[in-house]
Amino acid sequence: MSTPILPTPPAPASPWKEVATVYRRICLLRLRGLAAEAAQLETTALAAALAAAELAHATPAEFEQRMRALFLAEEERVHNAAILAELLTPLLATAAAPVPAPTPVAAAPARPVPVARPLAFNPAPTASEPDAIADFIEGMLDQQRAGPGR
Amino acid sequence: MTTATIEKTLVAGAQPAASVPANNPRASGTTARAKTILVGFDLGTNKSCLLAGPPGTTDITVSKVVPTCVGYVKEGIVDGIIAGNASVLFGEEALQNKLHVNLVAPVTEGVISQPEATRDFLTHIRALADPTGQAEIRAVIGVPANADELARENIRRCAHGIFDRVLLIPEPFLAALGYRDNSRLGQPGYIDPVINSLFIDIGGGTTDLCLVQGYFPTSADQICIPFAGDAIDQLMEQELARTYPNNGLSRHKVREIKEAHGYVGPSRRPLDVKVVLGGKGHTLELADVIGRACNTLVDKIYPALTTLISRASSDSVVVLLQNIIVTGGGSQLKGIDAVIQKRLADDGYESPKVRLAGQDYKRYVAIGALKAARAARENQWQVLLG
Repeated sequence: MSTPILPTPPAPASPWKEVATVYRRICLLRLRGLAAEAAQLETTALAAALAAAELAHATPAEFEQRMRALFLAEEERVHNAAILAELLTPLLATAAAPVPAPTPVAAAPARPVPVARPLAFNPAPTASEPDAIADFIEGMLDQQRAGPGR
Repeated sequence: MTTATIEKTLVAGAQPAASVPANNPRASGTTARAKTILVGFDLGTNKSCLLAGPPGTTDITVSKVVPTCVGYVKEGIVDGIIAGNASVLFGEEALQNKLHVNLVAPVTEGVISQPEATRDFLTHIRALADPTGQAEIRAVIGVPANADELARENIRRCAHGIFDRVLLIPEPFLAALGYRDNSRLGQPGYIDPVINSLFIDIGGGTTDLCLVQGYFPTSADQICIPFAGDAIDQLMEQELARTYPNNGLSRHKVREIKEAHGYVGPSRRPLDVKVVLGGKGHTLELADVIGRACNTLVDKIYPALTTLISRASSDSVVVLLQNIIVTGGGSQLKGIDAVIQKRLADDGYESPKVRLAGQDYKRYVAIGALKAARAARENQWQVLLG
């Protein structure tokens, strides 16, 4: 009688896998215009997953770097998947005629993040940022005009 | 050293700069220029950073980090030794030819100490930003957090005739503005550094700490410590002299050793560094020499850090503690983020997070300065008189 081969217990899942899964879901929700559901996941499942992942890193810098890289990768993955879906949808519709036309992908909100180094100089300031900066400068000049007593 | 020690002769007879109203005819400048170039400039003690670009766009046409030094070629140097037979060299070129020049550091501990050399240096910077020499240059220049009116006036005097208009803004605020990543605003977990952060900018001459909380920082929000990279170099030299007398290592070499091996925290012995002394290679064990000098910096920073934290409102301080950012050359000291964070946590501060500005640390003040230059209103620019 042969000795039964016991299944090897699965290796404990990396906490980052959970972060990736949740963040991917958030990106999909945003893409579909479901901002409230996305926000809910951010404050619950994502926060919990990030807290677990952070314990695995010795320094905040390492954790931060890994988190940013993962977010960028998942955003790109979802974005590419959306493009693929747009391309394939009409092909699939003509290839299998009786199948009802799939629901078109909703007009996406602003794509999460461009592929750029997160800490690089951002060449596209928001419309209101120049006004906000000019207001800051005005505050500084007011302080200087008021004199050194302030 | 504080800015109060600047000789008063530097500003004798100085005319104050004026903010030009939008309708003032002088707003167009004394000479008509074909084009305008905006400059974001970080005049550092050891390294300066220049970014330049045309207004109305996001293009950056010039991006340079230049060692802040001027080399005046010595008398009697044979023709051809110096490229172009130049009489004055700047930045890397000056350092590479240090045997043939008298090296002058225009800035000491964050303030101008050699006005003529500073003018020469700014002239060089202007030429980098505008090789044609024809453009109107509007420059936002970072100044140390503790710069008083005397220090600002000295900068204006040095810039007179070189930049057409200037705006002087404290460096920590510019660092926050430069560090801000607009593409991440609104993302989960991203705290806008301009809204709520504490910057620790460890430069060559000074370490500047600044609370940035959505309004322009007042003097109460900023602390400037005249202890930074240069002071660490000096401590290392003293420690080296004790441990290895007559070592013959130059200040420049000591700085190189610090930049390659500098760390804070527990001793990282053994830390063997190979140096060439008298033409012969030697291996020196320098863990404690480096560690003692660098840890002194943390001991200086920490009380200032907790002072600023205590000044933040109770509504903002928990988030603030998550957004403490170390920038400047000192951010390259290994372990500095972890050590500061641990000290805060050990002292009971709630979930502190200290992070490093990253590889772009040399550029953040200049990036913020260029953003400010692009946003400044016409009547905020200062025309240099005198």
